[in-house]
Amino acid sequence: MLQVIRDRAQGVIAWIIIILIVVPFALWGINEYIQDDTVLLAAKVDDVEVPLQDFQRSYQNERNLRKRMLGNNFDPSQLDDAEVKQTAIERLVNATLLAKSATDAGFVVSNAQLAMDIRNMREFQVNDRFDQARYASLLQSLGLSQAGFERELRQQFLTEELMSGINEGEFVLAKEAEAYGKLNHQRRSFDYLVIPAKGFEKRIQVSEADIKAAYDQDQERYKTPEQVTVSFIELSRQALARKIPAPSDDVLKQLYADRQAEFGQPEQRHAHHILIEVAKDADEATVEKARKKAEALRKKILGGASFEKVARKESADTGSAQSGGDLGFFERGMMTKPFEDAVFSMAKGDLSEPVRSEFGFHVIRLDDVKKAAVKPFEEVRGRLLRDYRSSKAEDEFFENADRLTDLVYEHPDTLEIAAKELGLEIQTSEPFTRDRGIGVADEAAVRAAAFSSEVLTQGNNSEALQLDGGNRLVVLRVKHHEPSHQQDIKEVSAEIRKALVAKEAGEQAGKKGAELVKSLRDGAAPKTVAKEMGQSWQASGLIRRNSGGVPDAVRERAFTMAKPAKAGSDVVGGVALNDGGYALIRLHTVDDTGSVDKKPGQTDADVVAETLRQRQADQNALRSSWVQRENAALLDGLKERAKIVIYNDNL
Amino acid sequence: MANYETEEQQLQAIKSWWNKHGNAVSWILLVVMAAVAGGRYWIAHKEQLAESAATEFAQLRNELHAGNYEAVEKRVKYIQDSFGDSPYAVQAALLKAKADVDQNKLPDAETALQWVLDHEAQPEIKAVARLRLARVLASEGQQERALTVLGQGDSGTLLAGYEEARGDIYRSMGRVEDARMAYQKALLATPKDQDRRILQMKVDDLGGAATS
Repeated sequence: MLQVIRDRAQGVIAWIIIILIVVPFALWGINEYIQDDTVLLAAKVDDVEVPLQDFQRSYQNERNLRKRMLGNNFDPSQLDDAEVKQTAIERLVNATLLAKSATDAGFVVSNAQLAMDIRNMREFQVNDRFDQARYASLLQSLGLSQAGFERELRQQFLTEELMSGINEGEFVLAKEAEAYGKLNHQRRSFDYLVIPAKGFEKRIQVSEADIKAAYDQDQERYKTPEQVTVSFIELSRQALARKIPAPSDDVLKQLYADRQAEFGQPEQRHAHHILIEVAKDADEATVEKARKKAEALRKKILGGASFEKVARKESADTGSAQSGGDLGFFERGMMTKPFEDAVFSMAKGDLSEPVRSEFGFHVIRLDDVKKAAVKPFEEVRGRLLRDYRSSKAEDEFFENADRLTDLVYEHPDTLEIAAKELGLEIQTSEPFTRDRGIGVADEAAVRAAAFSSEVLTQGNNSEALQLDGGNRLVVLRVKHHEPSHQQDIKEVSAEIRKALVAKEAGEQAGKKGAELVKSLRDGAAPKTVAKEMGQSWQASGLIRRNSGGVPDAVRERAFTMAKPAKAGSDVVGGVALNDGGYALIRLHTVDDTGSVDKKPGQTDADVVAETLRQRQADQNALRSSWVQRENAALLDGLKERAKIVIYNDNL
Repeated sequence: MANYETEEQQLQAIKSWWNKHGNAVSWILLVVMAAVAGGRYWIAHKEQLAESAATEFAQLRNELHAGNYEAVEKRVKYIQDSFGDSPYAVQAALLKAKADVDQNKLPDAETALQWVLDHEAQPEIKAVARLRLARVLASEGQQERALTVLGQGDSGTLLAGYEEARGDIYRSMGRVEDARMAYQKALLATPKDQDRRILQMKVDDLGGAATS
């Protein structure tokens, strides 16, 4: 039998068997290559592929970032998703490009170096030592594979090396810092005179035809915004808590018993003292002298003198001396240690030997002792009741929340059933727009729900909206919808007239202002100008670019004006103000010293410190300005040379 | 190939072929093996070099950060001598220039930056080095030379930086109109998302809008 197989196996059959065996082995694993080809890509940077998965993480990070920045104001429906995606893919492509360029240029991060850096990361350490389990679990919680994390880290290090010459090698030369400091902290002093537009309004005539023309030209502007008014029911934990009936005192007493530890009150003692002052580092003779004095006072009191009288006369602790050395009741931890130790070791009525503390010698009389006690029930009853209600309300709140969610879903066209079942009142909001509202509509989530098509168009209940971190639930439906409509010209003609008058007045003020600037430059006396306009010149004082007190537009203009050639030759300029008025400016002096003002209460040392701090800040600002430029230039250059493809369809 | 009658003949044929070509075949094999081994060694050596350079560079960064300028100087020299072709040498030179400026050794900073210009191939890094060289020269009072240096190479994507530096130089020379022009060009070349406060302040200070 075996011989037969052996003989036959030399022939064709043997080959067939071999092929049958070889083929699967040869193809084994090929599916992995085929699958690799179908991995979706987010982008391609030259020959480096950026998998879609990486993009999704980057996108999630971007979203989370915005969420953190906006905090409670975060409203997913307001988020510009296209913009977030754009930022996410840009960031990812830039990171990939930089790391790739670093590798191409010949930068390396060895495995040993990478391992060492990971081991040194605080996040992965337990008791100051790298912990493999922590490393694995932390990465998992971030949704990262170890290989993925290490790849990303390597990219980051490579990029850091590539940019180190730009980032860490950036310098600021002393002369540059000085020049910048002169600019940044420059101070100017000027007079300014405001020509208000109001003064021109009386003489301005606006015809009906003008109003009509303005209305026709800008009809869009005279549309009322779309508004809705909603009915809503609100389930609030706080409101529930208020409604919980007060339990019998027996229940509260039980709670009181359970929480004894919390209500303890430590021992308190009431003492009087007399202080003979000695400096902490006084020499022995002085100390001895003080001790003798304290001793003498003690004897005097023991001999029958009144403690209070002696204290009033002799105690260096002026605060208590006036009240005869009375310190009132205090607990441990409130007084200096040696003093406290003495007080808490005395018996009621005792007069102590002189006790040394850092302040000097104390002669102490212990007047009274309040034993450590538990706060009486009556004192904490209010708190117990509040806690009781809050915890009861919590259970009820979650039960009712579930009921509410079900009820409004089962009856999408009314709130009444849910309101009746849960004992809630149906309330009505003020009208609000998509962007703004008061009361309940102050919440972005409420506005978003009210204007959603489910609620607004289909007329259903909203789902239960969680507010205040889940402590309030609101369900709403639209009560009244006021679509945007074109206002009739009659409704708005007063408004338009006002706007036209203001505009014209602004123009006239500007024209007048420009004339006056010219005449001032030609040598007109400032006083005459002030008189003509019925206004007065205001002095700015010597102020900085960012000082307050002067209208922003005026200050900004004053800092862009040419500098006076010499003292006494003012430079004149003017600027239109936001409210339509116009300001004339006479620039007197420009102070380039960059010196720091000495504020009241500051010493010269403070001024020096402030000057140094200012110089450091200037240097940092200059450095980061150059770094920003150079970083951007490097990235732009690399981008110009690279072939970057973004698969927008996949994003 | 001919057909052989017996195994004996076959063996004979192989033997005679081997006698004739054996030496050559052995040599070829030897050479191929040597080449493969050599290539592998070369690659390993290259990697080794790059990693050593990276380690040195990491230490250099720490030393610069700690303000240990003496060590910085020594290590930069070592990196340039031992790994002159590696990209780390250029980065090291940029760090050296910073150490020099911080110690107010401006001529040394010039040398370091010139080293970058002589060795770096990446145009952006070169542009950065040139810009910094010009800034150092201007601070030394050599404004004309600084302008020449800026004019010697293409600013590429760093145009705004070049123009700002030109503006600063002209301003320090009292050439207000040239400075204004340069600053305006820099403003134009600065993308919207970049901070332009400092640049704007420099233009404003020239009092450009005074006649309006």
